[in-house]
Amino acid sequence: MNLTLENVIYRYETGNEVLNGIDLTLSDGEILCLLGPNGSGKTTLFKLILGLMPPSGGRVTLNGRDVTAYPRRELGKILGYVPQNHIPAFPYSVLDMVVMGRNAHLENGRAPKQRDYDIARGALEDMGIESLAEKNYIRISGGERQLVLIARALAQQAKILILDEPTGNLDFGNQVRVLRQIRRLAKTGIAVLMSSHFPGDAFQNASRAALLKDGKIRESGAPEEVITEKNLKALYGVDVSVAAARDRAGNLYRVCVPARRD
Amino acid sequence: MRPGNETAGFLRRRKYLLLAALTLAAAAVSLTLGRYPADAADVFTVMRLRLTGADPGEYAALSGIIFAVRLPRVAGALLIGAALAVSGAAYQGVFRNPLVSSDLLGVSAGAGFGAAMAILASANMITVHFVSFFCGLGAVAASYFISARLSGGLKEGTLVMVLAGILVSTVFQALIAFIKTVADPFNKLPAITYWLMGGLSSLTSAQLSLIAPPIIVGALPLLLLRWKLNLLTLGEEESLALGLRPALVRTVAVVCATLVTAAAVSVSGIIGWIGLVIPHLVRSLTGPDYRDLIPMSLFLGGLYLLVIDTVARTVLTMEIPLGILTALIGAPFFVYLLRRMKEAW
Repeated sequence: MNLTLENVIYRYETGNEVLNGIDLTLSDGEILCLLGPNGSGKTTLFKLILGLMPPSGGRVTLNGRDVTAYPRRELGKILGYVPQNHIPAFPYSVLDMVVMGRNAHLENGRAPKQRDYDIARGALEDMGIESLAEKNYIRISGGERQLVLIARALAQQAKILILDEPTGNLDFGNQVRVLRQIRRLAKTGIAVLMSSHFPGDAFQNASRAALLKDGKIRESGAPEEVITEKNLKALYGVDVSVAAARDRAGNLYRVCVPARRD
Repeated sequence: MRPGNETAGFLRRRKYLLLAALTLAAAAVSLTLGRYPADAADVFTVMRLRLTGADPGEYAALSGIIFAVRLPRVAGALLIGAALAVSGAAYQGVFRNPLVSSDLLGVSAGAGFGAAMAILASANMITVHFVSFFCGLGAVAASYFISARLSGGLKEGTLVMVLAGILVSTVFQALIAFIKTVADPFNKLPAITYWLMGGLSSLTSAQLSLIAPPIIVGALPLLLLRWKLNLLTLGEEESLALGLRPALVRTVAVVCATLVTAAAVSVSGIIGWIGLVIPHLVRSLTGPDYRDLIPMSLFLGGLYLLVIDTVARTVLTMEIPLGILTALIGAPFFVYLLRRMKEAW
């Protein structure tokens, strides 16, 4: 599977440009982490990739074919969307939520069968949360909900996962857990595009990072090359040091340390 | 939400059989009740005589009452209760809001206006039903077109549709009030008022055969597509990303639910609360999954209205309008359900 964006432009009817010439590629097993301040166009970019709306200019293609030209169900078999965890209007069980991922694989108008429920349970097992299956999705923790939504994308058997700030609104432990699971999935060959507000997520997880500001990709490449003090200053307008730290196993990691002015 | 004790487990496995048996039992009991005394054995005998085509003999009077009055009423209560409950469940999914009911888009106000207008024009009962039915559909169509003009179609937000529904309902309520002020206060005004309060007292098998086809035609797609309604409640973008065509499912659900409600209220008058209370009751019993919610709502909605209608026609010497009873019983019951559901939500 190959996702390609060529000179993608998006502007509102009022003429305001949100995205202004985006080029990106993503292939199997890669993790691309998209960083950018609020309002930089990350969400719009995801909507275009998911085919939720057509770009004003340029092309978003999957294996050479325009995403907007795919029937919705075909697209659903390839692209899995993991939204920011939210509370649905009704208190579905975790299993009910995950089995909804099977929709793209069902014949027109059909409901899921035993086999689909088995796949959904398998996806929960894969995420290590099979014990949550009968729990009320509304009553579990934010981190668990995020894992459930990833499990749903797995039940969808998507080849490419689009994750909208998977570490947003999670406590520290859950951030680490969610990132670990994403890394594991990429090793199985799934391509991952995730947005984040934490540059550290890119160091920890990503094979590539892209910095988005004012509708343009400012830098893109290996996280170590892209996430520099100078680039972070340009992206967020704050002074940050990029330092090296060792984990317990002795691996060298980069971390971002905001400068204290006082 | 998914109770784990033994009784609940039994209920879950056997719920449809159990509900069917319960409904049948309630129908049988309801047939025995009324001003003309009868017990279960009498009703059974009358049924048997009718089915074998034998001469009813001493049971002629009872046979007449059961087949001309009580049976259409029992069947009508089941059908109309089921219709109101299932359309409420569907609307709640479409609008992603557990607190909306089927008259959200103005179907009741439209139907009420149609009926009031027809009564004012001294139309016969069948005409009243027809005018009411089409005015109900017309009101929802008006809500739909207003919201389409305002927001560029169903795609953008259901909020505009809700607002349009409120607008349309308000206009029709005003028109109903106007008709009431000009109606003859000695016979037409009471007829209009009585219609608006809802009731099944004049239900005949002819009317039943009028409303049964639209209710069945409308309920069938809701039954077939019911699991997809789950995805619809996740919102436009998420359901698209899951491979659904939300606009299509939403349109089918709104059209079917409207057809079903309009048919029901065109003969029953305005009976509130069933479309709100029953889906909630079902959620507290079997969870929010539409796979169970739709068929369970059909069953429990029918059963609920049958019980209420039986009460309405038997406790006092005069009929109690149904709308009054469903509100008086429905509101406290809803408080109880909300208390129970605090745990789930």
